Amino acid sequence: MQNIQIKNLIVDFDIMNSEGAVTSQKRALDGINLSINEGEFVCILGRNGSGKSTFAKCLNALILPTFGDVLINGMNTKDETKTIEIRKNIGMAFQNPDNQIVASIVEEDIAFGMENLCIDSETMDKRINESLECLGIKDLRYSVTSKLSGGQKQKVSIAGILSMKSKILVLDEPTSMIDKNGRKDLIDRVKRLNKDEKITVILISHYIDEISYADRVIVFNNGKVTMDDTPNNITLRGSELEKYGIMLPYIPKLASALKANGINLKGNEFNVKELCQFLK
Amino acid sequence: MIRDITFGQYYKKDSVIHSLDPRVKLVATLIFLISLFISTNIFAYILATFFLIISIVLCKVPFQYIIRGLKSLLFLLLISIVFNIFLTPGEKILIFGPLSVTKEGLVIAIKMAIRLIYLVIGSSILTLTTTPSKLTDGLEKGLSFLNVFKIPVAEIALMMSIALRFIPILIEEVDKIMKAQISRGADFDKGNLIEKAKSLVPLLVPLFVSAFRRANDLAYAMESRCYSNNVKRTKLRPLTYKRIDYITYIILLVFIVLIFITRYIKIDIIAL
Repeated sequence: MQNIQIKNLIVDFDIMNSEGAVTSQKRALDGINLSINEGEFVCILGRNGSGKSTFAKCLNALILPTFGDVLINGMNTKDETKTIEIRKNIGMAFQNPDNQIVASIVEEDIAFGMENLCIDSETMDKRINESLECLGIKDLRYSVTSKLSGGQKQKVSIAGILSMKSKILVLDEPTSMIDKNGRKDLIDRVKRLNKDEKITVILISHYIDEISYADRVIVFNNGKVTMDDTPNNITLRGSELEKYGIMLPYIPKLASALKANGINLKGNEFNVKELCQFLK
Repeated sequence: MIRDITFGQYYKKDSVIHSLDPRVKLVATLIFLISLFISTNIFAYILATFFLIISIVLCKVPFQYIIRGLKSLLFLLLISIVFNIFLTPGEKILIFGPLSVTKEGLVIAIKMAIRLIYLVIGSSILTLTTTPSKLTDGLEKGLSFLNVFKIPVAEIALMMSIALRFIPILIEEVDKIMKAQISRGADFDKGNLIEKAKSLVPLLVPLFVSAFRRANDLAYAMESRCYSNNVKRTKLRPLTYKRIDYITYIILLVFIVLIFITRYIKIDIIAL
């Protein structure tokens, strides 16, 4: 079953001068056609200003299309009567965890979404425990949100989405403000959710090494989808990626060069261990 | 330095006062403040003192924490005492050159000092025993009758709790901007008051820009989590009255009635 269907999506933004008058328009998304299936882990890459975040906001009905349609489980984001239902289905975590936490205590923040959906307190209590356990932060339930680390804050915001029982998780550069270890731990947890709970994950990232977790990679450039392939095939198209401002890390770059020189790699050599194993 | 500032002074302790519903505590504080200002004689003050002592004992918060709030009041207290003692006309009991202390002035000064001190201690007990989020919950539920007049009480309460949540973040932001400006040669301590105020402009502009950006992001985050105004919401910890809350309401009713009764007691010692 298809989760998300995007048909000829176009989003234009008004450019205003200092007096607030519209002077021109900027096309942020230009004719996107995509479909994302249930349970898929999709990684979206692209340089700054390529339209990734605008695309993510379109999925959540935070930005409505200028032209075209966005269908979430068959519901059109343009249909205002369906907005709450769409947002219930598709949870979103943003780049800066500080700007998305509403409450001062972890459990109160996780409950925020459920309170909006009028869920009773007993169910909320149960779901808070479940979502905290899922992300391995059960001991943080009564902690003060401002005292948490970046990684912990991001996990709290994801727990808030999980507690709403969203079946699609959109993560807009969630790891950009987290150190390397925190980044790995967070994405590992998200991957587990994708595998165990069959949650569709759309991960928008700057870090190309995160594509190794994905089933599919989509590259955005100037508001258009320029590449849509499996992670293995994407890494083998290093020069094309560089054209879109994405640099391959050393090992996939080496693998790509070996492949270009006639060494028949399988295409999944993302790290030293895998590459060594193949070369042996 | 700036991070040392603390907002909200909740003191965690397992006490009867802590366990009371925040609405009861808000009403109790309000009744106590009203009682202070309608007290006309010494019996009323004795009753208020008795009420305050019982609250202090029951809340189990160390006394030095409770009176910490008085420090900031010292200046105001001093001004009110001095002005009342020297500038109230009446029966002169002491004369210092052009200034004279009157009996009436002395009585008013003592009365004002007691009122101010009790007022600060009373409201400190409220904030020391109630978390900011419980306080906003209490206000939201307690003032929900205002919805009839189309006053968005729930929205105002949410705004208050978000403001409280963002205070530490904005303090951190100020700290960061200050350090960035200092590293580029700014000096926030130099010069007179006007120069100091002027030096704050390069601090406030980026702070406001960042606060608006944060507000925009937060609005997106709240909307994406199905928030919509004018829509009924449930609560994770809904406020419900317990037996102790009803008992406290009865005690408060008895207290305010007694205070009113004292207004009719005629006393000759000092007509406070």
